[in-house]
Amino acid sequence: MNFVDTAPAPVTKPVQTLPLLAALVGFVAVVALSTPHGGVRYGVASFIGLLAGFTL
Amino acid sequence: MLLLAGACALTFPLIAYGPPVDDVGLRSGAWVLPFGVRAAIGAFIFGVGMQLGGGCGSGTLFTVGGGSTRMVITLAFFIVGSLIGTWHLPAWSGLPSLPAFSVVREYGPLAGWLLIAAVCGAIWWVSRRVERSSHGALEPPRQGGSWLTGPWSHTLGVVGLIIVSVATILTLGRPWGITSGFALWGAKIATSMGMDVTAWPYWSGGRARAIERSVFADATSVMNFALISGAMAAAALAARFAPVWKLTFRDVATAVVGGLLLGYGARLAYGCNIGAYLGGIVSGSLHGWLWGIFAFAGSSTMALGRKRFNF
Repeated sequence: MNFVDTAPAPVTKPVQTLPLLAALVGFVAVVALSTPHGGVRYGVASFIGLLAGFTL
Repeated sequence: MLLLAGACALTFPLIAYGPPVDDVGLRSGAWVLPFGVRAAIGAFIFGVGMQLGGGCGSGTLFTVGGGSTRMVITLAFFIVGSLIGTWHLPAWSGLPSLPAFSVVREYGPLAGWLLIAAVCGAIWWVSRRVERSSHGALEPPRQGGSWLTGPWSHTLGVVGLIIVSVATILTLGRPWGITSGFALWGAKIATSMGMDVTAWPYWSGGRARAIERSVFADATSVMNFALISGAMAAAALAARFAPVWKLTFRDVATAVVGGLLLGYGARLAYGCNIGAYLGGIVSGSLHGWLWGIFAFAGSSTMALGRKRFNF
């Protein structure tokens, strides 16, 4: 009979690289495409939107 | 309630003493709007739509970013509903309405905030009593995990949303909004298909010019796109980005009807739970609170209906 005498290792899922990369590319694209219209203000607004998505 | 009281503590002084940006005596672009039959019906419809569609304005965007294929359908019909709402809006004009009311303008930022804090405290107290009497105990607070991979505690989420609300006012000179972007996307798509939406009164002046310009010239759309990116990044970091490709007929039908109601209701009622509710309340406007009451009524009605008829 085999006994397991150590606690199981916590299950940690790896970060999903592809969607993370897509999100970062999308964010950079939003900044690049919006700043010609709204300057730094729109760059900051993009970052606020990113934070909102992260928070929600 | 912590979010509302905390955000108002920062936005009320900004509105009262910040740089003037409008011509109605308020500063820092507060949204103070009249609330009447049109907005009440719109908020109620929006509440019904939330139950069917599976989310609100921001909720639709972040679940799309999180990989929900069903919410892509909700978003598509949210846009269609928004466009129909802009078309129908004149038919709703002329209905009775309360005048615009601002606690900041009437009582000043400090007394106005004390009033809001008292209301939030009362709602918090009553909610605790109701939850205790209904379920025997309060639901335990969510334990926070890593700030990067989540889940975030409710307190950290509240802090994040306060930062977003205040930073939007500081950056764009007005509260955070979401659904006007959906209406614009719908108008641009309709225009590209040969429709002349500029014949509708809603799409006149600056809004007509917005249709001609790039969508990236619209600050609300820019924030919406970035929000989807943020939600996708958060889902990927938490290893929870998992699109579901098999949808039942009920999934699709509720997403379609819910999306249409969300969009239509948002146009009648100055926006969603971010623009109309949160944006109104952090502006010190009565319309934000009234929006919340009618949206809650709509959402509760549909929740009871779903339970009663099991759908």
